Amino acid sequence: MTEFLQALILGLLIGGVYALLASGLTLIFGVMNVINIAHGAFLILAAFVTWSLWREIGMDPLLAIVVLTPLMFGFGWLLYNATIRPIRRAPPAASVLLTFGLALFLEGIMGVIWGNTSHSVRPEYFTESFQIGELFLPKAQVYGGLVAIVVLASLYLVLTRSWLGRAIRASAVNPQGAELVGVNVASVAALTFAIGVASAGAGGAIASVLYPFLPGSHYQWIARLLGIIVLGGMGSLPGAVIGALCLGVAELMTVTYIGPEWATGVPYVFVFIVLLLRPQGILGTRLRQDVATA
Amino acid sequence: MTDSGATAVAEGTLKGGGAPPSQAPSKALRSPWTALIAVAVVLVGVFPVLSDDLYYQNMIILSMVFAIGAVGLNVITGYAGYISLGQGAFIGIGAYTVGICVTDIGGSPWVWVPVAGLVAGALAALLGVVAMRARGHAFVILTIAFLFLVQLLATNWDSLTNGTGGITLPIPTWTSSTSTGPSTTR
Repeated sequence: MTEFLQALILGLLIGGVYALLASGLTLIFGVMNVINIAHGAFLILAAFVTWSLWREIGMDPLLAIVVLTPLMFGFGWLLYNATIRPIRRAPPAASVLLTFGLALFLEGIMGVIWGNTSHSVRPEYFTESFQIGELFLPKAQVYGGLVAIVVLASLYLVLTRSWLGRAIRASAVNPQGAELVGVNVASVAALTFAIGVASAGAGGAIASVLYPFLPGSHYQWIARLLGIIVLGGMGSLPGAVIGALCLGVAELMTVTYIGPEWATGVPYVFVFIVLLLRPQGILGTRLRQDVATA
Repeated sequence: MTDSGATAVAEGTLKGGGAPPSQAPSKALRSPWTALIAVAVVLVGVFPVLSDDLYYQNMIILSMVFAIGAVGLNVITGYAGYISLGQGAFIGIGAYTVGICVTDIGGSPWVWVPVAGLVAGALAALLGVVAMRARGHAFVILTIAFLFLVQLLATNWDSLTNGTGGITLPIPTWTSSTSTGPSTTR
């Protein structure tokens, strides 16, 4: 029972981090109908920058979020205008190939800068843990999960309370309608992409403490995040959160009861089962558009 | 009147649209690309005889292997319009099929090449059970998931695939008369 409870709590905490990362991906898909295959690479890039900040000036990885979020926001905005904006009118296939190419490009650049070896950020509290009764909760996981929830909550506030947030949601639901009421959908798309990349930056800083990473790890991350948004329903933000919590718990249960080497397989199994049984995901409606556009 | 008009139109169409195809072979033969491709084919063909540099031989062989994979991908993505990012998984499945068959059953790797194709095809059909339900973005995601799933199985299924150690086959040798062939150990 203790084992189960421990796996459940750790799963929910890690699920919070996944939720933050997946929400950026699902937001970009919702507004732009672009699957950002490079999302994992943005996350790993943020993790490497966090590593450098921690190594060079001893900055706490969770504090590094404050630096990384605006940095990645600017990076995302520039990248969108340089690469994705020119193919906005192209068929969706083009954007998949483009972002896949971006991911490979970033992987190569990171390999040149930081080398193709496994890195991990280990602040002082890394080896410590909270003990509640018989439960042992590593401090890194607890802090990481809590910070992710805070960042996610502020993202949610931006989306529901600000003009930009309303414009983003309007562009996602009905681009033509949004244009009609004076939303510049093209520039909202650029800002959405930037927000998505910024959330990957915040999530990457947290993930750098939780998992060791190398430039090639982005494949594993993008697979995990795609599994989450397929499960939750593509383009749905609450769906991404539910999917992320489910995946976090499922991964931790797999680690506890089957074996850690199989945990990375959970998202793929999710993708297959969901697409077989309920292709629109838990809360999704957007996939119906696939039938119209494909 | 109408008949002749129709014939004229038909002839016009033939002259306008149909003529290029009838001229196409000679045009294609005269195109500089054809000459270039022919030279390339001859160069690649005689390369193993001209050079015994294993690095470049290996590079050329691998390029042609990738070309096979790319031609296959073109059938899925180019003709059918479905973007698949899982093509690498099937190259891997083929390689593992030959590797496992040769180490566990024996025989020349070349004998097992058709079997590798059949195994990859069978697994693709199995993937098709799910993939048939998906299109657009869902199909892309599905093929990525399949790619990583195959990678995970290859890494974790130690008893079959030897895990991260992988499978190494001895380099096949040619008869002595073609000892400068692409696969000579040196």
